[in-house]
Amino acid sequence: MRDNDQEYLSNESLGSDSFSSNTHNTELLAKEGTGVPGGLEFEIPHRYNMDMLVFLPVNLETSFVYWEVTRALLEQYHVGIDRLRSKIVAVDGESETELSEFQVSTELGKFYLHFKAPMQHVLVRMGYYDDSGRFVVILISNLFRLPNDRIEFTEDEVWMSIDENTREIIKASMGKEGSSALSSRTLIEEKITELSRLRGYSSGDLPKRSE
Amino acid sequence: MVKGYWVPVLHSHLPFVKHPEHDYFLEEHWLFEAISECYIPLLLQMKRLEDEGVDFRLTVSVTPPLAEMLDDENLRDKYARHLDKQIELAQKEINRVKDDHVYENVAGFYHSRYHEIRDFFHGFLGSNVLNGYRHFADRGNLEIITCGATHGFLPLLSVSPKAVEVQIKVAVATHQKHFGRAPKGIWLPECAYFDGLDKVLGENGIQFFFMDSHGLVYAKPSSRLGVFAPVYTPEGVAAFGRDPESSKKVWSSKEGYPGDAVYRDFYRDIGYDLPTEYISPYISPDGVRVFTGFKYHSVTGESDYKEVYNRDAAMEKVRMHAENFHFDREKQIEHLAAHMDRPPMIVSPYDAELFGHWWFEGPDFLYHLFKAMAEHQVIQPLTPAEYLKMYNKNQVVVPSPSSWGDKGYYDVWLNGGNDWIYRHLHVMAKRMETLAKRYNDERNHTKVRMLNQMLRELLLGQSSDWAFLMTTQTAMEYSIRRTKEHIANFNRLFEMLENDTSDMGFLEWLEHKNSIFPGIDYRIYG
Repeated sequence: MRDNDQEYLSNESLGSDSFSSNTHNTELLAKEGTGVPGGLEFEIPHRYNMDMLVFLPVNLETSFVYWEVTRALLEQYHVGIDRLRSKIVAVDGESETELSEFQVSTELGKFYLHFKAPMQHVLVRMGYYDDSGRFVVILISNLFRLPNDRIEFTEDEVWMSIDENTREIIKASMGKEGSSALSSRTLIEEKITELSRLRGYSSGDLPKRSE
Repeated sequence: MVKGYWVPVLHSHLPFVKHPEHDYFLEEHWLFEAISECYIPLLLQMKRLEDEGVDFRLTVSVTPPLAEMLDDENLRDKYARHLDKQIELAQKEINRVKDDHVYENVAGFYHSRYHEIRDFFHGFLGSNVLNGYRHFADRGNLEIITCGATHGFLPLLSVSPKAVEVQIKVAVATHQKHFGRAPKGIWLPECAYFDGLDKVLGENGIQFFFMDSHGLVYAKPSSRLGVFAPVYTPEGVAAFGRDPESSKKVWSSKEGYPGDAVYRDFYRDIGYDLPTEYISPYISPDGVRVFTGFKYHSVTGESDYKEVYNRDAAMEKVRMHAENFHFDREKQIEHLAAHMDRPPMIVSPYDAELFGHWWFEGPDFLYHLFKAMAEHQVIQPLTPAEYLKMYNKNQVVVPSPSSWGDKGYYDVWLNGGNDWIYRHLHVMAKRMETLAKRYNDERNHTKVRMLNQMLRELLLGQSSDWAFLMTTQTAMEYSIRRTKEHIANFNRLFEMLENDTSDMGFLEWLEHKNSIFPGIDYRIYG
C-alpha cells in the first residue's frame, strides 16, 4: 500500500461531514409525550458526606470535574475551603505535566474545564499550597485517557493473527527512538505482553524486534 | 464474483419500562409500537427470505432490557391485548372510510397487516418475539449480539471499574439465558468507548464490537485500512468501524431514502387527527394522544399538505432504493479496492427501530437488498464473526475514546443538563461494591433480596437513555423521575440494610415493578 492509499481510506472513513446518529428512536417515541403519573416525588441526597473527586472527559477540548470535600478532611489538614485548588495533570509514566488549575471554593461542586491533551492520561489533584509554597494533595481523582483528533500512521505497525486457540503477533519492527509513533507501539506491545502473561503465554512467544 | 463484503448491523434497544400497576402506561406503548412496526415486520421479511430460499446475514443486537421486556409475561399479555385493540380499530377504520376509495385502500392494508402481525405473533413466534430471533440465529442468518446490561454509558461509569465489569457480565449472562449461547459480539451502548474497555470485553469472551469511524481513524496509530477492515485492540478484541456513506443513506431524513415523497409519513396519525370521541379507546386513557400506527399519508414534501399513502408506489420505490443502495455500494467497493490489499468491508449500523417505525418501508428495503445481493453475487453480506474467520490477521491499534452521538464524543450524556446524575451513580456503585463484599456470605433471605434489588435499581439508573432524553428535552420529566426513582429506591434499601430494618411491602413492590434480571446475584459486584 502507498501512503496516499492510507490518506484516501482515512478520508473515506470519516466521510464528507461530521454526520452522526443524532436521531434516536427512543427520542421519537418519547416525543409522543409521557404518562408520568402524579404521586410520590423521589427525594435524592443533596450530599453524601464522602470525600470524592471525579474527572470525566466530555469531548476533545472539554472535561468535567465534580467533588465533595467533607469537614472531617478539611479539619484533618487544618485547611479552609477557600484555600483549596485543583490541578489537572497529564501523567506519562513517571513524568507529569500540569494542564490547568482552578480554585475549588465550595465543599460540593462541579467545574467544566477547557484544554486539549489528545490521548493523554489525565487526572485531577485537589490540595492547597502550604506556607512553604508546596502543593499538599488531599484528594486524587480517577485517571482518564482523553480522546484523539489526529491521524498518525506509522511504519512500526503491529498486526495480530487470532484463531480459536492461538494468537500471534505478526509484525513489530523497531522504529526510531523518540518518534511519536513509538509510544503508541510501545503501549501496544506492553499491553500484548501483559495479555500474553495473563492468558498463559510467555513473553518469549512474542517475536523478536528486527534491528 | 464477490468484490467486497457488507456487514449490516441493527441495534435493537428500548429502555426497561414496566408499570404493572397500570393497565395502560404510555411508555409501555413504546414497546408495543416497536414490536408491531419494527421487530415483527423485520422478522416477517426474514421469514419471507427464508421461504424464498434467499440466504442472508444480519447482525442484530438485542439489548438485555429489551430481551427482558420481550420475554416478560405481563408485557406479552398486554401486547396481545394491544394487538386485539389494533385489529378492532382496523375494522372500525374500514367502516369509517368505506365510501372513500382512496382511503379505503389504506384502511384495508392496515386491516390485513394487523391480522398478519397477530397471526405471526401467536403462530410462528409462539407469542414471544424472541423465538423469531432464536429461529434465525439457529439457521445461521442472524448473529445476535448483546449490549450493556442496561445500556449504561460505559465511559462515564468507568470511575468504578466494577460498574463497567458488571454491565458486561450481566449482559453476557442475560444473553446466554435468552438465546442459549454466549454472545460473540457486543454493541457498546452509544458506541461509547474508553481506553481499557477492551480488557473487560476480552475477559468476558467478547470477540468484537463496533465504533464510530473516528474511533479508528484517530486511533494510535491510525487504522491503515480505515473502517474498511476491522482492527484488533491490544487485548485482541476486534473493533469494526462504521461506514459513514452507507449510514447516511438511511439515517438522514433529508438526504436519505426515508425522506422520499412516496414513503409513509411518520407524523400524520389518526391518534392525533381524529376526534377524541372516536379515537379515545385507542389512545392513552387520560386523553393524551399517541401514535396509533394508522397513518394515511405519504411524506409528500416539507409543507403540511400530504398526499394519501399509496402502498404500491411505496413498494415500487423501496425496490428501486434497494437496487440503488446495492449499486452505490458496488461502486464504493470498487473505488476502495484500488487502495486496499484485501476486499473492502462496509459496516452499516443502524438503530433497528428506524426500520419500520421511523422508515415504515425499511424492512421491505432490507428484503429487496438481500435479494439483490443474492442475485448479483458481487457483494457478500457477512457477520463480523464470519469476516474474522476469513481475515484473522488485522492491525493492532489503540482506539480513540469516542461515541456515535452528536459531535462524536460524550457531550450528549454529560452536560449541564444531566451531569448531576453521575455523582449518585458513582456513589451507588461504590456502595454496591462494598456491600457485595461485606455480605458475601449472607444467608438471611430478606437481606439477600434487598441486595439483589439494590443492584437492579443501580443498573436501571445507569441506563444511558435517561441522560440522553434529558439532553434532547424529550420525555424530560419522565427521564428525571426515573433516574431519581432508582437512586431513591437504592438509598432506601441501603438505609434498611444499614439500620437492620426491612419494609417487606416496599421490597416486594420493587421486585414486582423493577423486575429486570430476576435471577441476578449481588455478589457479582464483589
